[in-house]
Amino acid sequence: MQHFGTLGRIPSVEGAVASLDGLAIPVTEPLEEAYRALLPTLVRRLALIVRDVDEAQDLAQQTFLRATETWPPSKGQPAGAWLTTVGVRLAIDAVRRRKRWGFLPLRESDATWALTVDPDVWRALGTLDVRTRAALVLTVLDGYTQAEVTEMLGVTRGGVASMLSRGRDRLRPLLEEGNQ
Amino acid sequence: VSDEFDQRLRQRLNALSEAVPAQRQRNRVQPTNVTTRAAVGGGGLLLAGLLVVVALRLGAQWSIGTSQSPSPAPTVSAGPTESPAGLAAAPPLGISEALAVQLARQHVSSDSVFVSASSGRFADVNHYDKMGSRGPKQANQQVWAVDFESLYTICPPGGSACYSPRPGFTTVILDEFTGDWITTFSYSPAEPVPSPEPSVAVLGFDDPRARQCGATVDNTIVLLEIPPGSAFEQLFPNALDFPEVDDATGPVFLVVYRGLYPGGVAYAPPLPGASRWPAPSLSPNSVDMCAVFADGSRLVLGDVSLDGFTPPTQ
Repeated sequence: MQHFGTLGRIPSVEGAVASLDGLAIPVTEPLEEAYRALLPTLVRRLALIVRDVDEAQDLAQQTFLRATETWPPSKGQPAGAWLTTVGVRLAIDAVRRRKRWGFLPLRESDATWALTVDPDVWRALGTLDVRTRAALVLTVLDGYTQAEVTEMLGVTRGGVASMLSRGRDRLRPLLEEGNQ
Repeated sequence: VSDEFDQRLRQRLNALSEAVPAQRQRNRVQPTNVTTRAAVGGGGLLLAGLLVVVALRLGAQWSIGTSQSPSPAPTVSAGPTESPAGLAAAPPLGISEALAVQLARQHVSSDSVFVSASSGRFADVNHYDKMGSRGPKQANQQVWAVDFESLYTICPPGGSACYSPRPGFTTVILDEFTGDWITTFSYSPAEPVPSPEPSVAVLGFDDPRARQCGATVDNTIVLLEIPPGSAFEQLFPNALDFPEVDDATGPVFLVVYRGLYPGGVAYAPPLPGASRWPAPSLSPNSVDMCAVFADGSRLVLGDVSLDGFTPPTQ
């Protein structure tokens, strides 16, 4: 289960983390170590989930703020998975709150970066609800198991399976169209 | 095929993820009119405030972590590793009981007396079985349930005289990981109010939609057609949210299987090095279902709890 301690198996960029091993933060390391190594990757994942870089950065900061209250996690517990759980839950709450109260955006989210790289996938992700987006990112991109995502999202295993199935079904035609 | 699809999707998600800019976008927005300028300015102030708080909090922690002190002293210890008897084991990374009680106190009246706190799955800590598992609450969500005791005055509607104050409980539910408030429920024994029965039709296997879902006498408990609205919630009070069903504008044909969906469900890909895909599984007293909507589209509902469900008769 060693890779569960990582936030993701994708190497980070901009020198924050040089290697895959660098992402696996031993729980005995101080919080600053985890902050330096995991923050960039956490922001990237949350940006895909909430679809807004600024909000993702705020949520990642909030996640570490929470971490100051409980750090260090219990011995043997993966720091990355814990931070991901808190970050994703905060992200889902934020999107729900936004929806529930009908918040109007202060400005249009600047998604030029996403539209430049892969407009099809970006738009396709936008058609999914936030939990399904989170489930897809966590399983397909980060390799978390269904059981782990079940705990992270606080839903049943069948619920996660259903979300993944629905998400893939929704993305498949869009991605296949893009390949043609 | 799914594996190949996941590979492609992984590559493209990764490319997107790597492209997320490291710098804030908001600072680069050029206000185009007065309204926008004011909004962005306000957002900037809020953001600055947040960053100062984060810096102060992290700074304080860091000064401990980087000092000569032999061990960093967290302000709050990690949560319990053992939960009360009969409850599912709580993840050891949640907030502590002391912090949970402190946070929960903010949601009850000052004269409330703390009774107990327990952590676990929402479904397990739902002591009085009065809180549904719908809305923002999820049956499997790891939560703290903090109970307080108080006196409640219950007044019937219509201006009738209130009853004498009677003892009752308030349970505050918090997210076990983040401490976020989820819901508060007060309970004082009173006559239950029966909810009206939804008008549900029991259908036969000759319905063409049964074939669409692969329903047979052997694998199916019952075939139903439920009206739009809250019928699903009333029939399956402990099921998770399925917004597609709740928000359906027309009647929904529902197959309640005896177990797993017979067509197979796509699950997460196996871990690297593992040769098998995770086997589908169901929670106790839960089944898969198939919903067919008025427009002919179909949706498989996974792991739906049958707790509280009574199959209607024709």
